[in-house]
Amino acid sequence: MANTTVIGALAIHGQNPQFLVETVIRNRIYESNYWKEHCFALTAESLIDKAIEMRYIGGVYGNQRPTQFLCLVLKLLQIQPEKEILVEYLRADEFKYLRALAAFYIRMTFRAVDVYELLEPLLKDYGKLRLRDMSGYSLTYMDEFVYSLLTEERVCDIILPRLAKRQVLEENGDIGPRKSRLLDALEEVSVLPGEKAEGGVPFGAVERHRMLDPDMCQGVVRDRGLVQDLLSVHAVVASRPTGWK
Amino acid sequence: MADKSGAYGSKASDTDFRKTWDKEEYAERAKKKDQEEKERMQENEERMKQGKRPRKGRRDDLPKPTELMKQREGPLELEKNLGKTMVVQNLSGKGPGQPGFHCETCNRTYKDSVGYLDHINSRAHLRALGQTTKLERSTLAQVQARIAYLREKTKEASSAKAFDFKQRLAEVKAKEVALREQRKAVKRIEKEKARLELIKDTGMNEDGDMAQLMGFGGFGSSKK
Ligand SMILES: [Zn+2]
Repeated sequence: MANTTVIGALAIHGQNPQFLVETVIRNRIYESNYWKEHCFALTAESLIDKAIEMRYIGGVYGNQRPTQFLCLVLKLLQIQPEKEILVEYLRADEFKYLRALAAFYIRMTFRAVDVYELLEPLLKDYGKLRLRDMSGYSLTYMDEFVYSLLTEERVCDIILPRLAKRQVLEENGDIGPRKSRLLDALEEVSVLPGEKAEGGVPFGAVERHRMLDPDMCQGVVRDRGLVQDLLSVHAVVASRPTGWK
Repeated sequence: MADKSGAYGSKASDTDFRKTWDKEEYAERAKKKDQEEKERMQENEERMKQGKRPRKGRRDDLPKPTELMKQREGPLELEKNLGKTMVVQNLSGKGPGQPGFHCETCNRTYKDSVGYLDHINSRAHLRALGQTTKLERSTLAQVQARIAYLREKTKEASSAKAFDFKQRLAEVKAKEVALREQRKAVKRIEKEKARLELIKDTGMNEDGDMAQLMGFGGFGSSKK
């Protein structure tokens, strides 16, 4: 039926996947014209067309109206496409709203290890995204959006399932250490001072000890992924003041 | 009046304008309906015993749905008549041509788009279309093909846009040139008119009306 979860869908986090969207918002979506007119009988294939027509991400706006983004998130929860299909969505880098949608769905439904492995590469995507919320439109970037998915509890008016901390997963050996672009960059700096790093940030211009100060970095580097690296490096430095290269 | 003929000799009685009912036929229909109702009740009793919901309406003898649930082809155009004044063509209260949204498959009319949308998404409507409520599952290959197709399409669209832009520039330029030409022509005509006026004035003075009427400007005496 129009609003039921597909038969044979697996429970996500122990419940019907559609319940990941709280009841009030879910009913708003079911009542919305976009849902009834455009989301009816969408498949993983025809959903792509709708996703690339999107012009903004966001939760609810105005009089608690759900965005198309939210409607399509619910649609994905309903039809539960295979993991490979989601990865395929994610790989289509020219369709940024499709990518944002896939990232959001992956964060909501995948295992923590997969979430980190699939979403962390997107911290290098600086594409612009338009965000619509109760206060109107604003500008954000893919890396910022993904960073909020990895660190915040509530994004686009959806309470995200709890995500295990990366550190915990690393300690359990479930996930390898994050391929740090900063460490690579630091090594590069020591070899070739003044050389521009991969991300286009001139590392040579910033002194090493300053770079390890997270507060400084927030101002200097807009790259969320790098900031996260910097923070982790900082922690390592703090705990091991001597003997660290 | 001895015989019961009317004033104009017609044999019709006062109440002949009324509809005459074929009593036998309607008795037959009533019987059939009762029979159906009885069958339904019996069936419902059976269903109740099995713990199922009783069937409310008549049973429609539709063929078993064969297709999976499908996306609608083409937009619904719910707003195409928005703000228009329409003539109600059908006053019978049933069927198409009524105010509202009409579903041809099920022959039902809905007063607003929400009711209509709910209907065309409903199980009953899908059943009438011969569709089940199951959805086709896309394969990875289908998804990949779709993305590749859309990639090509957007590329084409963006290049077409660039082409259009150049063409538009040319169009605008051509338009400007045409406009200038037109203005020039108007000016030329005005000048010509003024010249003729001048000729006329001088002609009138020197040669009189006749020469003007005959269509020549004088006998070589008038200077331009
Ligand atoms: Zn219908």
